[in-house]
This record gives sequence, C-alpha cells and structure tokens, in this order.
Amino acid sequence: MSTARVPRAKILCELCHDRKAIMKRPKNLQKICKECFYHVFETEIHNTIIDANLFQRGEKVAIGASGGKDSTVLASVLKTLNERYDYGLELVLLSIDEGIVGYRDDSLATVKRNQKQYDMHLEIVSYKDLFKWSMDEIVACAGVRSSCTYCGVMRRQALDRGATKLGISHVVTGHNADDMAETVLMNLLRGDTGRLEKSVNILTESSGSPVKRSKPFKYTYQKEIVLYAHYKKLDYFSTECTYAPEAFRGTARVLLKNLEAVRPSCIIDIIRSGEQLKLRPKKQRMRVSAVAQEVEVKRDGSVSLKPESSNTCERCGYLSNNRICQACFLLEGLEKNRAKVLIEGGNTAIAGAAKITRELEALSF
Amino acid sequence: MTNKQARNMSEIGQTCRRCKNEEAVLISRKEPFCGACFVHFIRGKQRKSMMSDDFKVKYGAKEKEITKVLLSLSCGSSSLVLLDSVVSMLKEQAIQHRSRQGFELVVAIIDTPSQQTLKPKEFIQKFKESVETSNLSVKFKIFEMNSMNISKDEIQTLKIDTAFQLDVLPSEIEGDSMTLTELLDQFSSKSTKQDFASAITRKLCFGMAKSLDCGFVLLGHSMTRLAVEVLSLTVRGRGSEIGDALHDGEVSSESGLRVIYPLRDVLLSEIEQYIRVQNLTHLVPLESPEYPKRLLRNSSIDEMIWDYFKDVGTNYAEVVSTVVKIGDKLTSVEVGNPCKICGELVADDPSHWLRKITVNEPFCDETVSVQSPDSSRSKPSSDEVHQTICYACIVNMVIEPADQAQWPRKTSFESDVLEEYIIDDDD
Repeated sequence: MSTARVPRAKILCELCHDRKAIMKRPKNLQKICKECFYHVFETEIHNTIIDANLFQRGEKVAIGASGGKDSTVLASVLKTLNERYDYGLELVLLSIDEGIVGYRDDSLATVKRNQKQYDMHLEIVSYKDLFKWSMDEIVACAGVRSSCTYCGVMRRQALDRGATKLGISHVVTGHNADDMAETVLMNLLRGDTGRLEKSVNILTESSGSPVKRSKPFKYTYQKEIVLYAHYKKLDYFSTECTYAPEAFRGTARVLLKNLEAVRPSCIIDIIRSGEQLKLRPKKQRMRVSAVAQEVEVKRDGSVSLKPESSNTCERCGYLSNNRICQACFLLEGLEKNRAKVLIEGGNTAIAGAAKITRELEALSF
Repeated sequence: MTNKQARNMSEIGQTCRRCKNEEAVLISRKEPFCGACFVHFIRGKQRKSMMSDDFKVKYGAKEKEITKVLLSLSCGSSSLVLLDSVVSMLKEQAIQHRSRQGFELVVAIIDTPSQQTLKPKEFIQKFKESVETSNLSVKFKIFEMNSMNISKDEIQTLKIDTAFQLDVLPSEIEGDSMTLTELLDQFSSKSTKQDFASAITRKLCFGMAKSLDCGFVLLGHSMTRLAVEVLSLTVRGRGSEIGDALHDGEVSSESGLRVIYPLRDVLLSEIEQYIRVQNLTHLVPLESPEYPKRLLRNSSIDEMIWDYFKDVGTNYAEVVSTVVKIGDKLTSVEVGNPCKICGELVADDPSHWLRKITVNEPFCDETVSVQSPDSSRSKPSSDEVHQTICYACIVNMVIEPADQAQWPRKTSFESDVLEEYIIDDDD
C-alpha cells in the first residue's frame, strides 16, 4: 500500500522572509536561503578584511592554493570581493608541491583548473627543487610520525620563497575559524606561552621578513566553507593528506568537533577567548653585565645570536634567529640518515602510500 | 593487562620508597607509597600552600587577630580531602601548641538541589563520626540555595536585541519572588545553566565569607578540576577570566578577601586514592574506573572536558599540569564595567565584535522585495542606552529559544542579606 506523500510546509528564510530556506547556518543555526547565505558569508569576510585593514590598493597578493576546499573558496571569494568592493588587488595563485605522489599531484591538477577558471597567474614551488627532498622521501627516511613537523617548517619557507620569487610581500592562506580554535586549544594543552597570545592573530609578520601572511577566513566556519563550495559548485579536491596528522592534535580536534555538536558557537567563543588571553608581565630579573652574559648553546651546537647580529640562516639565507634555520636543521638530520644505496623497487614508501591507495582504488574485479 | 598496569602491580608488592618499612599499597607519580606516607604526601601539598604566618599559631594574640578561614565544602571528593587535611593541620597545631590553633575554620556548604551525594547535615554528621573535631574550633554553616527568595522589585527582565545589545526592562515574573533555582531553570541549555550556576555559587561563597567575617577562602579544586576550568572558560568565551579563576590571591582589591587552592598540585586520581586510604568512601561514592560514557548530546561543555582529560590522561599524563601552569600565567581584565548578568568586568564592547563577524542582514536584489522581519527579538534603536554585558553572557542568552530572562538587579550577594539565610549545623 502506498501512502501519498504529504508536502512539507515551505520554511521561509529567517533573514529575507521571502525565499525558501534551504539550509541551517552552521554558525548560529539560522534557517536561511541560498542568496542570503552567499550574502552573509561574503560580507562577513569583507568585514574581517576591512576591519583588520588587510589589503592596500594596488597590492599584489598571493593566495596559498592547495586545491582543497579552503583555498579554492578563498580564491573564489577574494576574486568576487576584489571586483565587488574594488580592492584594487592583483591576485596570484601560489602552490606548494610537497612531493606526495597520489595526493599532491591530483590536487595540483585541481589548482591548474582553478587557474583557468579564475584567470589568475599560478606559481608552483616544489620541496624537491627547494630542499632536494620530497615529502615521500622524508617519510621513507624519518617515518610518518614526524611528517607534519617537517612539512610545516618547509611549507612556511616554501611559501615565503615562492612569494619573494614573484615579488609579492603578502600571502593569504585558507586557515578557517575551526583551525584558529584548534590552535588556541593546542597552545593551551601544550603550554606554549610563546605562541599563546598570538594564536588568533589575523596578520603575522616576522621582523626582517619581506613576506607577511594573513587569514581572511579567521571567523569563517569550516562547515560554511564546504557549503559555499557545494552550492557554488566550485571545483576542489577533497582528499585529506595521506600522512596521518599528529596524534595529540587529533584528540583536540575530536574535542572541538564534539563541543561544536553541542554548542555551535563554541568555535567563535574559543577565538574570542584566544583574543583575550594575555600573559602576566614577567618579573624583572636582575640585569647581568654584558661581559658576563651567558650564551645559550642549543642541542645541535648552534648558539642564539645577539640582537645586533644578522638574523638570517648562514646556509640558505632564510630568516632565522639561530645560526641555521629550522628547515636546514631538520634537513641536516635527514641527510645523515639518507640511504647511500637504494634497492630498485625495494622501498615502496618512497613512491608514496597515497599512490598505492590510488592504484588499489582503480582496481576492478 | 597493559604494560603500565603490570608494572604497577609488580611495584605494589614492594616496600614504600618513603618510609622504607611498610608495604606499598598504591603507585602515585611512578612512586610506590604505603597508606600513611601517601596521606602525608598529599597533606604536605596542602600545608605548603598554607605556610604563611596567617595560619601559624600566634601566642598572646587577641581573638580579633586570629585568622578566620572559610572552607567551601561542596560535599564532593576534593573538598572532603581538603577538609580532612585542614582538620589534621589544626589537630597537629593543637598538639604542638597546647590546644592552640593558628586559625579558626568555618566550613561553608552551599546546599544546591542538584547535589547528588548526602544532604549537608547528614554529611557533616558522618564526617564528625569519622574525624574527631570536638576539641577544635571548627564551625559548620549551611546555606540552602532555595531558602533565599529574591523579591520582584529586585528582579528585572533582560533582553538581547538583534544587534547583540542588552536591554533592561521591568520584571515580568508571575509571583512575588523567585528562588535561585528558579532563576537557573529559565535556561534550557545544560551548559548555560552550569555557567550561571558556577558564577552564582562562587559569589555566594565569597558573600558567605564576608558575612562570616573570614579573610581567607579555601577552595578544594584539584589540579584536574583547575585544568577543566581553564579549558571550560576558554570554550565558553570567558578566556579573559582565567587569570582570576586560578590564582591564589585577592578576589578583588576592595573585598580584601584572599582565595587559596591548597590542592592545586593534587590530581583527581590522587584525591580518590586518598579517600580510599583514609576510609572516607562512605561520605563520597567514587566513580568506578569503567564509568559509563555519557551521551554526547546530553553532555554539557564541562562534562565533555572532564571526559577529555580522563581519556587523554592515559597517554598524555602531563597535559593536566601543563594546562594549569599556563592558566596560572594568565592575567584577567582589571578595568571595566561589570556585566549585568555575571558581574565579570568587561573591557570592550563584545556586541560590536559580534556584529562585525555575524551579519544578520538579508540579501537584497531589485527583483525581490524584502519584507520587514517578524523577529521576536526587538530591533536596536540608536538612541537607547544599552547595559554592559560580557561576551559569554550574550552567547548564553542568544542560544536560548526564549528571547529574554528574569535576573536579579545586583550581581553580587550582600553579606547582611546572606546572613539571615546562613544556618549553623546545630540549628
């Protein structure tokens, strides 16, 4: 027996009270229509940009593009806002090829399509060219557990170098509100006093560095980015990096997702807290005379430089407070462990775990 | 059996590393302890935080010069351990100084309807049966939350408009007064209720200390509880209050009241071990190690963070102390107007901040005429004077389906008002 379907009552958008609501907004659970969603989503990002005075007219800005949802939406929204509000920006896509076969090569193909769709110049910087190591090689040598440590340090430098090559002094990244909230929690859980006050800074500049970076999606929920990409039918690559994220960070991420399920505002609430976290001023220690001043010798034998000394790495010339930068320090350790001889076809890890997964997915029986 | 458990079991057969005489009955911080040495170890932590001259025996001191200390007893495990430890300190002083005490102890219990354990009177009676206090100057005071009625004149209606600003209107309550429980029951969210309940309890505790003429307040928060507090305040948007909520020191410059957390170095697992060793389990039922997991949707923010620390503690034991240490390094807002709801100082305009990042305007194009929204929340008007409200209270109000709440005009409790509701254990 078939029962006739009862037509559901049309729910009107809570903002315009005219069009049909098609979604519950993840940020505040408001039921809104597609047009109002686009409007609030883009206007909030515009407000963030204006309030932080992120861009200057005529500025050339590189968008850190991975091909994932965040950076694809960032490119699309920045292009829209640049035209709508006449920011006067020249937007360029800047991609990093970490050398993860089966993951990054596919996502870079997406970025190349984005380049045509948004009509922007694209620059790709690879780890292999810059550091002579790909991530697959690093994982094969140092193991998967520390992969994020290497990748994070190297990506930061690669973005800076790519931007410098293009003569750009401003890189925007797709870090969203969920990432910001996770960072606040992680800095508390790790007791990282050095980073705590800066956890939620929208603009980060290092003294002496020619490149500044900013996060226009600071207050934008990850779920809303996904919805925006979905309704706008944006072309993005949705696979996560095959090298597992750090286990402890995973615990904070799960906590955040659980909290968000109970109270959606908690992501913004954590960012609000993050903006208010201030360390108590340190007690003034007795000043030691310049002659008797101690010099800290680090584990690798390097020493901290005095303020008047040059703050660049003596090997690669990149910004560093120490004799050698963090990337060169990590690479030095890798070089010591690099296999002198490789067995042909013996080490499948170098080819990348992701490549094997892709090949298995393609099999049919 | 995990390697860790196996190692613990093998070490329990050893002798205690402190006295080198008794057999170890438990492992704490990788060290085998006998019962007596473990109790001494935990009490040592409490003694260390109360080492100042304020708590030492002063020969020839007049009655007014003797320090009066209020111990807030929630009838939970941590405050019970603190009470047992502080009473033992007084006993030691009485033995060493011929029945003299360094300070007078007032144990204050705020009786909330949600209390799961024994009722306060029963708790005090059973405690006195277990721990001898008759020769000491220890007084027990009870404040029953529901005994206090706030009259209609003292209540106002609070309303948040679409611009996240607070409007204060005359009271709309049906009866002549409201109890504190009725105030909290207005809110449907469990997290909101807990947020406001903890603010009220804290203020009641300080109000009681003032009305009972106490200069110090001892709170039995364990290290685990303080770590939960740091994360919970952060998640609730109260990051700016962490410094005040964690420090040992003055509540506020004008109150002259000082707060101490004597168990800030003691983990919750150690609190539970102390209760077992001291045979106090009949006062506080301890959670079994295989506790049933709470359903996610029924959990409050605090409960989720408790569960997080329980889960994470097995693999990352140092996290709890790390969070407390960093929380203790934070500072709080020192200058600002008090929030009309929770009374915390507000330095900036959180409604402006929220308006900036949450657009509530519809999309307008020429083809569609946007109707005026039939919103239940009133539209903001520029000429209205809005009251101060903190960020966390805005969020608490906005997520509630009802768009308004009844709330007392005063955000703190006057000591002379509280006085008439505080009852002695003997009453």
